[in-house]
Amino acid sequence: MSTHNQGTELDLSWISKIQVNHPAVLRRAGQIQARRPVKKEWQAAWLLKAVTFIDLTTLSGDDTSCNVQRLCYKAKYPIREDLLKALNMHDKGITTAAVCVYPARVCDAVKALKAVGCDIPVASVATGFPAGQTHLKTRLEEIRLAVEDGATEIDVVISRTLVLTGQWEGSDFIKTSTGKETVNATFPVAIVMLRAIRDFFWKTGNKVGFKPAGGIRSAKDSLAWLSLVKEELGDEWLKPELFRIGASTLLSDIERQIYHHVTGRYAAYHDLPMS
Amino acid sequence: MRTGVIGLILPSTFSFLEMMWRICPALAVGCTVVALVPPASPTPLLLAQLAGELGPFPGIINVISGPASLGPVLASQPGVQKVAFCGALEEGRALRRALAGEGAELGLALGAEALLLLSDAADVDSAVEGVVDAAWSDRSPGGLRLLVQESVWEETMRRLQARMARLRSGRGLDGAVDMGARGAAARDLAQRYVREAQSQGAQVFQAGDVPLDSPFYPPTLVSDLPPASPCAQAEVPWPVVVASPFRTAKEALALANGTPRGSSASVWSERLGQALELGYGLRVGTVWINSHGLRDPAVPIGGCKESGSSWHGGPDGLYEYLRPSGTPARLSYLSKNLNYDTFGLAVPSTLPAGPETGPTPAPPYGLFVGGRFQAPGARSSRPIQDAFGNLHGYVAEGGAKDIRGAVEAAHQATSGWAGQSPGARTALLWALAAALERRESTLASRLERQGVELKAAKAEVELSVRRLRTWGAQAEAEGQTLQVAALRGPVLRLREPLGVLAIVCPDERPLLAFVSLLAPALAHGNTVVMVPSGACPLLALEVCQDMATLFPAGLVNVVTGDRDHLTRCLALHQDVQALWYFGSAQGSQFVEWASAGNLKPVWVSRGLPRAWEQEAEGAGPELGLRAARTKALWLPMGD
Repeated sequence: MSTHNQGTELDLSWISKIQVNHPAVLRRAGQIQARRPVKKEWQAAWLLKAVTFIDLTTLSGDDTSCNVQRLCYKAKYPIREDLLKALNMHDKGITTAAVCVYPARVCDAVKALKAVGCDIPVASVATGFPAGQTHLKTRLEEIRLAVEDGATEIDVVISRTLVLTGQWEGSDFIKTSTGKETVNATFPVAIVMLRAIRDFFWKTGNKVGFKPAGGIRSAKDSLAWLSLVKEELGDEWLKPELFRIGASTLLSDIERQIYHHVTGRYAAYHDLPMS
Repeated sequence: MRTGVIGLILPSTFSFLEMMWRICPALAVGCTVVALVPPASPTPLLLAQLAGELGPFPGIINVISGPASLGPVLASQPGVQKVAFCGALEEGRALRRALAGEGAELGLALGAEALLLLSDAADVDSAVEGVVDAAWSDRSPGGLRLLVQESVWEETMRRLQARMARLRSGRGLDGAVDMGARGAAARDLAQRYVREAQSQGAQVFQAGDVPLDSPFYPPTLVSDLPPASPCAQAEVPWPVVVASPFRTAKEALALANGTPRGSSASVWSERLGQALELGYGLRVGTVWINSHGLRDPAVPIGGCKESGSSWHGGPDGLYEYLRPSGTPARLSYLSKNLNYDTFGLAVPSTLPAGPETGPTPAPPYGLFVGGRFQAPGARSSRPIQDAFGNLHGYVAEGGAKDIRGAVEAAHQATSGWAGQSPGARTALLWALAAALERRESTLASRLERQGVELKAAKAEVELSVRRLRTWGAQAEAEGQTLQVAALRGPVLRLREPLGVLAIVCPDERPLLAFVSLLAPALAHGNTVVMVPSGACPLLALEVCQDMATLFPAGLVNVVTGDRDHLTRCLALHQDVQALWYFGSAQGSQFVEWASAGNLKPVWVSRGLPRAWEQEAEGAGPELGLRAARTKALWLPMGD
C-alpha cells in the first residue's frame, strides 16, 4: 500500500443517512455473477490477474515451518512454469500479493521468502485473531512483535465490543471478516462495503482497500469478485495496493483452470505441485 | 495362450540381469523375442552372443543394436504382437502415440525414480543405508525422492551427510567401490538438474570435490527445493537425492502421491500399523517396508500413473506375454487419415424425431451423475429410435462439462468405495441383481422394442443378473502371498482398484454388455463413468434407476450423448485412471493415441465385435485382470 488513509473526524451522521435495500442488493449480487462471464484467453488473463491479488494464507493450529516454507515457495511460483511459458507470461514476475500467517510464523515466512528470493510482503493476523477478545496491551504488543519479526502488513481484528457500543476505528483496508466465521465473504455484503468505500472516496478523496476472505474457493468465484470490484469501484481499485483476496485453496483451482486452458485437458491431482 | 512375437525395446541403463528378467519369462511361455538395444553399451552384445549359442532353436531371441527411433519401425512390423518398452517418459509417450492403431499391444515401463518415506518411528541409521542402496549404488535404477518427518529432519540430514562422506566413487569393476559412472549423458543430466535446483534456492550437499571433467558425478543431496519449482516436478536423476520434510502421515501420502510417477517406494517405520497404512496408501507398484530395492523374479515389478502399467516378474509378468485362448492374432487396423485434432470434437446435430405415438409423451432422461439424474450442461436431448423406426425415448446430450462433472463425482466416491469391505461390495452387487430381477418385465419389453425376441430378451436379462451375482461373489480382497526364496518374511501381491474407470459400451447388447463391464469394474473396487450403447441407452438408464437408490452417490455415473465426443473427453482427461473402449476402429485408434496424455492403460476393441453371451469373452478372467492393478508389498521380518 503506497499511501495511508489519513482518516477524518468521525461523523456519525454519514452513517445514519445510509439506506440499504436488502432485496435490491441481493438482485445486484445475482446479476454480477450472471452478466459478466469471461471466457477463453480473456478468462486466462483475468485468472492470472486474480493470482496477483491473492494473500496466500495458512491459518491452522498445526502450522509449522515446514508448511509455511512450502506456502512461501508457492507464493513465489504460483503457477507451473511451463503453463506460464505457454501463455507467454513467464517473465512477468507473477507472484501472489502477499503471504498471510499467524504472528508466531512470521519469522519462518520471512526466512523462506528470502531464501527463494521473493520480495512480497508478509502479512500477519494479529490482535487476538480471530475473536479479538484479549487485552489492548497484549494486542498492541502482538502487532509490535509481528512487525519486529518482519511483517509489513497486519490484518487487525477490530474489537466487536467497541463496535457494538458505537466506538469506531479507521484503517487502510477493510476486510469482510476474519474468514473463520460460518458465513464469510458473500456478494451482498461486499456490495454494501464497496459502495461505502466509494462514498468515502467521493467525500474525502481517500482510497480505502478491500479484502474479501473466507469461502472463496473456485476460480469462477474469483472472477466474479474481480467483476464486482471493477463494476462498483473501477479499474483503479484493481491493484494489489487496494484489493486483496484472502484464500488458500483458490490458487490450486486457478492453476487447474489455466492448465485446462493451455492443454485442453482436465488435470489430475498429481499433475500440479502442492502448496 | 502365448502371445507370439514380442518386441522389446531396452534402454542403455539396463544391466544384463534386468534384460534377462524381461526376456526369460517371454521365452518361458513360448513367445519369441526381438530385442532392440542401444548400440552404446557392451551388455547387449553379450545378449547377442547368448542368442547365437541357441543352436537348436534359432530365432527365439533376436538382438538388433540400434537407436530408439527404430522402435516404431519394429512395432509396426506385421507379426509383432506386443511391444514392451522400458526407458524414459517422453520416448514412451511418443511411442504410444506412434503405435496407435497398430496391431501390437504396447506395454510401458518408464522412469526410474524411487521414493523413500522416513517417519519419526524409523531406525534412522538403517533408513540412511536404505537411501544409499536406493540412490548411491550401482544397483540403483535412478534418483530418489526422500520424504522425512519434520521431527527427525535434522538428525537424518546429519547422518546422511556423514554417510555420504564415506561413499567411494570409482571404476565400477573395482570391488571396493560403491558407485561407478554411468556415462556422460547421465552425468550431464544430473549436473543440469542440480544447477537448476540451486538457482531455485535449494541447498545442495555433495561429499567431496570431483573435478568438472571427470566422468563421475558425486552423490548429491538436495534439500529446501520449492515444491512449486520446475525441478520438483521433473524426475530426479541418478545420483541425486531430493529431500523434503512432512508433518504428518497424511501429509506424507499427499506429497508422495502428488507426482505423476508411481514406480516404487519404501516406508521406514518400526510401528507396524503406521508402516502398513503408508504402504497401502502409496500409489506405486512396489512397496518395501523397512528395506529398499529388494528384487526377486517371483515378485512382479511394475508401476502406475506415468510409470507405465506393464509388469515384469511374478504372475503379472507372465500375463503380459499371454492372451486369452482363442483370441485371434492382432492385426494392424491403422486408419491413416484419422485426424486426432478433430476426432469427436464437434457433435453432429441430430435430426428432430418424428411425431410421437402412444398415449403419453416420453419424458427425457437426464444424465446419471453423482447418484441422481441431472440435466446435461448443453440442456438438449437426443431421440432414440427403436427397431421399428418409432420413437423409443429421449436421452440427454452429454458434453465435456458433463464428463468433467462425472469424473469428479466418481473421484469423490473412490475413497469410500475402495474402503468398503469385500462383503459390502458383494452385498451391493447382489442387491442390484435382485433389483434387476424385479425389473425383468420392463427390461425385457424394452429389449423387445429393440428387435430382440421375447425369449431371447428374458434370457439376456437373466444372464445379466447372473453375471452380477458371479462377479459380486468374486469381490474378495485379492491378495496372495508369494514365495520368495531369499527373504524371511512375506511378500504380498495385492490387487488394488485402479481408481476411476471409464467404459464406453458397445452398441450391440445394450443390457448384457453394460452389466458385463460394470460388474467386474465395481467388484474390484473401482468407480465408473460409463457411456452406454448409443443405439439404446435406455436399458442402461433403467438400471440407473435402481442404482440411484442402492448405490452410494458417484459410484456409477452414466453419461449419454455422441459417443465419439464423449470418448474424446474421456480419453484426454488426465484424471481417468483407465479406459475401456468397445466402439469403432477409428475410435480405438484415437483412444490409444490420446492415452499418451497421462499414460492410462486402455483396452480397445479395435472395431471387432465381441461375443458377450459367451463366458470366455463376456465374463472371463481377462476382465478381472484388467479391472485392478497389482502392488507388491515386501515385509522382511526379524527383530
